Amino acid sequence: MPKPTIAMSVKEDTMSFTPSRRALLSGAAAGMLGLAACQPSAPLGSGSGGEGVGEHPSLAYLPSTQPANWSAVIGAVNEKMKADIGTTLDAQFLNWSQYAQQVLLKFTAAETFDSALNARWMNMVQLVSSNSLADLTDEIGKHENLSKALAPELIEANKWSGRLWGIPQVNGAARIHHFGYRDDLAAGELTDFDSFLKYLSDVKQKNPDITPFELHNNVGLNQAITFSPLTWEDPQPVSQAFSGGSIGVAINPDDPTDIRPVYESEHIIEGIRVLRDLYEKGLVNKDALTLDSATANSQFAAGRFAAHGVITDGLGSQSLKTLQAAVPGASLANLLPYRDGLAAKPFQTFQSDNFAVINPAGDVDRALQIQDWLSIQENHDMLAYGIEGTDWTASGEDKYEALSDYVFPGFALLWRIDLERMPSTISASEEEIFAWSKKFENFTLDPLATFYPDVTPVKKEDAELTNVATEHLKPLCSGAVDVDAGLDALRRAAEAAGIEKVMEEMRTQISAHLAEQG
Amino acid sequence: MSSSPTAPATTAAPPTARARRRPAARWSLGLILLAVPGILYFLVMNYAPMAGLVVAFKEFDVSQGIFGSPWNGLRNFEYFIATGSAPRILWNTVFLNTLFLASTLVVGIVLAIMLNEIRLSIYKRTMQSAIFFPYFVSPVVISVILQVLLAGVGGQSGAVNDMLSVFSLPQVSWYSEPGPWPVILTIVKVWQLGGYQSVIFLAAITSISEETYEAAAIDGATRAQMAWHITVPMLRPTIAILVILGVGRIFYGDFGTIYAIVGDNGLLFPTTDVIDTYVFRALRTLGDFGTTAAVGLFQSVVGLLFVLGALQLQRRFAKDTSVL
Repeated sequence: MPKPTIAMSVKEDTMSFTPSRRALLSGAAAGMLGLAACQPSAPLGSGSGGEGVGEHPSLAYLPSTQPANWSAVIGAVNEKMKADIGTTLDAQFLNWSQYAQQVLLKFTAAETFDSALNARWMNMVQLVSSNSLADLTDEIGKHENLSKALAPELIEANKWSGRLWGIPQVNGAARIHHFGYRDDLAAGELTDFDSFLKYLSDVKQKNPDITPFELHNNVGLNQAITFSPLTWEDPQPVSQAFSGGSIGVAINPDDPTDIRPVYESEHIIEGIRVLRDLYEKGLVNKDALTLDSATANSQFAAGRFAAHGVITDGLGSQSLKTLQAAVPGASLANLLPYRDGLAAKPFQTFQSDNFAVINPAGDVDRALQIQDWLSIQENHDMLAYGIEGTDWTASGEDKYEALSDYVFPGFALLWRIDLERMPSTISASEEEIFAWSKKFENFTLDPLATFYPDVTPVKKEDAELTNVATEHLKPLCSGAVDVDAGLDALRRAAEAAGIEKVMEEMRTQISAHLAEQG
Repeated sequence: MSSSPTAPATTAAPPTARARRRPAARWSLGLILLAVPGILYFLVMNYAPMAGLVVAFKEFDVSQGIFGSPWNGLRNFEYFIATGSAPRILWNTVFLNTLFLASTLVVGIVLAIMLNEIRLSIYKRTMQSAIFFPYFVSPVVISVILQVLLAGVGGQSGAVNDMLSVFSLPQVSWYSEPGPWPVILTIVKVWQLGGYQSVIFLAAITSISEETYEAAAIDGATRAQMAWHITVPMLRPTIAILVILGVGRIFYGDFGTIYAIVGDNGLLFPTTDVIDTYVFRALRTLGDFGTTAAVGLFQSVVGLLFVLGALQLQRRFAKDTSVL
């Protein structure tokens, strides 16, 4: 038998090497294992025992787009951070429209990064139930500056069943949705809900090129609640849901176990009717379901809308500089049309809308060291407002004047109530509302203030209800469908998706929580 | 008298040992070395990842990994199958894919025949490039183009509605009306893929013998008759291959295009929500890889059954053009 040859010839006399199929497959499998062995192994675990702090930048995922002048600012921040604590920050910005799902996938796929923004209205409930977040309950106290910057009440209000799963990102006590509007388009002072609706009609008549009110694809219950006249007459407790985007329940403040689907709440139904009316009259944009929030905000800043929804974070006037560049003489104002004004004392849970959460597959210690470093005023200001003298300059004790277009999403990483400065462009009305929102005593404690439902027992039903909300509730809240027909379709779909089971589970968990509270 | 040709002596000779080994010669080292990169590619990229399909039968937990997570039987399949939307989603997936497949094939054939009739080379190449270009346009760009055409700024006008106004026709709120969307999406797919398909058919047309056309011309056939009676029948094997490939993916929704255009606009779900968009929304809500793996497995198995079914039909009713 001829000797095996490795000649690359097809001549018959060289066709003598006849390995078996099994040998061939074994060889291929060995090759595959070899290739696998060449793959760099991803570091898992906290990393604190392996790589020392500072060997790699701390990767953080943040929403929105990269700020202007970012490379100069992060360069300065990292230079000081490296000198102070021996590490650096690598902030990656993800577009808002895909942020929630991208971050969810990064966590559930055990990608190695240190921190990200998350929230109950995104997927924090799912992340907690899948053990995808680092438990920070016993960690905050180990970091002096961080624990000093976070009030004990704030920590307590944001614990879920006694555990803290993220650093609450707040710059005030309460979060109240209300209206922000172009003051230069108003004939006079807006004082109540009716005058605001009249303002929208007047804008449409006098400025046909401007859409009176802006809605975007995050439209949902907040819009229905904000546009409900009943809300301003009689503020109700915040509704409860197992996860953000799902269909929740309305709570009876006198008996929190008395719950019903949100689509049966009179407050919400009235709000939906108002939105439908505005839609039919052309007072809101008709592309809300396809318009992403970043585009909507840029269109507002370009003067294409007269009003939009804002929240009590003191940032409603942040777009004024851009707006005035597009529309010289433009001015902004805020309206919180409670019947009793700032004495209304609406319900509040004092739970943070947003959390800086830490990935257990990343370097937990390093992420907390950075949080601690950012809790020092000088460091905080450098990342929050940019390089002093170039991007901003102090204006009084608690304000800053922006000198460049640098805007950092501080609510995603470094908001500390006592360290925040207000923009010097803040309108008088917004400053008044913001100051009011900072005081706990201006609000009534929600009966379910420390309650966080666990979605695990109804995970599939809740996911199905999220689909139902996308298909039926969002169009209703954008005003795009007939209210009665839309509510009927929503009710049928929610029942088919298991709303009864979800409500029963919610009732059980609320009862257990109330019993625990005594 | 003519003598019949004699057979070569070698054919009459008894088979030698070398000749007996000939079938085994397929295992040439050279050929094996040539095949190794391809084999490795398919093993690493296609077969090894199949081990991950076990996720479809597990309660996946990141901290425990794929193989450490507990088994949960068929519970992951229940989420999709038990949902009230399943019949609608399955119908949309099959219906839209059938529309896409049929329309792109028909338009591809027509474009190829038309291109084949162009005699001026530079004009033919320019047209070919022009109709091929949309294949490279991103679905996101297509989405923006559609918004300009159908909605305009603020969703209250758009070029199409402006045109309807010119003819005193009522305006349509396109992004609120699910009815027209199968047609709109089909137009988009035809625009995107018509040129691409035509190139495949054009390549097949060039292999048709000129003599066949010359014979038809002698018989007095017109160009249209030649196209219908010669070109189209000769394209049947190519059509058969493309149909088989398309049928194999008929349970895969065209996620890229549909999600980029429709996004989370629930008003359009009744006619546009397909398996892939539904599963994507579920994944981003649940963060549950088990459920999505289950649906992916379901799509693959049904796709395989469809391919086998299509092959059987071909073998039975179109044996001469059957590809496998």
